[in-house]
Amino acid sequence: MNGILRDTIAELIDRKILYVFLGITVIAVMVVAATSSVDLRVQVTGPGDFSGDSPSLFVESAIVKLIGGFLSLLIFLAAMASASLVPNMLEKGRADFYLTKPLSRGSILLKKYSAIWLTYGGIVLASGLIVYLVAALVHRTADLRIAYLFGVSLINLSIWFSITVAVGVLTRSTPMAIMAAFIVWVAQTILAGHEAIGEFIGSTAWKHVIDGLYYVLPKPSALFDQATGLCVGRPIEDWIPLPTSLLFALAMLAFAVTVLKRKEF
Amino acid sequence: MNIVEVNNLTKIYDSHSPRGGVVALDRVSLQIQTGEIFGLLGPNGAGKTTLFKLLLGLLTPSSGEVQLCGHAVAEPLSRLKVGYLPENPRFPGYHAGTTLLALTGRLHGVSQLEIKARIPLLLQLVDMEKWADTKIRKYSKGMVQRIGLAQCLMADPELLLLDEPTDGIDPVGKVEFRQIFLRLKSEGRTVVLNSHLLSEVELAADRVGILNRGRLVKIDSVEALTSKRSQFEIEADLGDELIDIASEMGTKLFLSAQKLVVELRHEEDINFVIDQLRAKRIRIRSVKPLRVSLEQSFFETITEVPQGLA
Repeated sequence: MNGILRDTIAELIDRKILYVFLGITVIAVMVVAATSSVDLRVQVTGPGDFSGDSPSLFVESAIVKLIGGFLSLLIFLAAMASASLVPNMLEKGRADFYLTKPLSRGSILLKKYSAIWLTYGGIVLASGLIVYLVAALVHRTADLRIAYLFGVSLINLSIWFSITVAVGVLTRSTPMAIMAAFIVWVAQTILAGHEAIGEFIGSTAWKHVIDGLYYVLPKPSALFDQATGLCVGRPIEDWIPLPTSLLFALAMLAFAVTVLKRKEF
Repeated sequence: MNIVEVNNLTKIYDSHSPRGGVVALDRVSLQIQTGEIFGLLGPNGAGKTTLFKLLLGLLTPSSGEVQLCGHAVAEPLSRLKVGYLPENPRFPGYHAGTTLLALTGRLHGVSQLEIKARIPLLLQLVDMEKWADTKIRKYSKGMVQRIGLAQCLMADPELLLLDEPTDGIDPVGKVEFRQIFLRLKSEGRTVVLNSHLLSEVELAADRVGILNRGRLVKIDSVEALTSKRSQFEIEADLGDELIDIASEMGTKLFLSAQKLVVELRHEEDINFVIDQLRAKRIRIRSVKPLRVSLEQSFFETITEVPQGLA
């Protein structure tokens, strides 16, 4: 694990991805710092969704939404930035270097996946924490429930990486890995409204297909919404997204390992 | 003890295609002993690289068995004490020489202490100390080969599989590499060389296997492949003497005032030729068996029509 992890970090540093995350974090910190002059509590008395809430809840909710949006952006960037790691590792000439070591192919792939998750997960957490701490200091409000957002960010990263890794192994193509992640993102966004879609579909068979797809595909957006709700005290009403998403990620990894074991280099 | 055991190994690419696929290796059997330098020769497409990849588990055999260091190649343990330099290696360019060696060590489970101790020695061995901290993407082809050889040695291997190791290496470097191979042999390691440079193999290898069209058509010692045991060159003060060789004994290939070349049916008949010269009171300066180059032997072998293909 140590070798592959260090190798992944070396590649990350070399590709200057860290600078991108650093730049975005600096911009986010500046934006948060700029909100210090805005007296958010004034708006509580005015019309809007938060008229019934206490001032501190409104500030917390705004920070949760800001951190949530920021983390979503980081997750998106991490998924895109890491999509090339497995195809690069398996390219002609370089695959020989990794696959001729005394490690099983499954072990190499799972170590690579874990290394990607740890490396990019670490960056996302660090950037998110910096921005949250600045926001908490500026607005003098902090709530440990923000950890739900960070936790779900790591879960979502594991889901997106399982897709890019599996497609990367299957096709050895970075664009294909990115496209697959994007397609899943679009599909899960559409399928979030599977019940409403079902209302417009006459055929029962198609309704079952739509429902089936909803349960099979991961639901990172729904997970993120649930975590945002938990941060402001809303309980989880539907537990389907978490287990089905984790199962999907596990299935993708199992598929990737099976494909890699059968591949010839 | 055999460090490499190959039995009836066949590899057919695209075996499910309607045309029946391409036979890259056809029932190859081969044993390589511990501590020898073995040269694998063959024209392009003969199956040399396919054989290497099968030995390392990069390809799956269509049939047959392969064992490395006493383990079936499907077991990762078979590669624990194996160093491999692929043809046209593409090491991660974001690594420098030292970090690549460290990564190789870690992937082989070498301790951090040993890694630190071995890196400077290996860099010195392949003459890359000066470029140790330069990114591999900036290396020339020869430098990549040098660092490639060093990474092969990182795990203190018992077996080295080197695919075109001197490709891109200058003539001085080639000599250095040959000396390294001989040193590795003297340390009891086994080196398998896959090379197009026959002269290089001739100088370094103990035994040679010649692959042609996926078949192992010859396997023998370099000595046996390069000596024409029935041909002798005799340097002597022959003057105008007429030397006759009985037709049942052999033929006279060349005769001058200083030299006689004969081809004999039986090696031991050289004694009769020497006796004949001595009887004529001719002073003999030297008698030596004639050798052919490995290149000549190789061409003779691969131009022979294999049985079953005629």
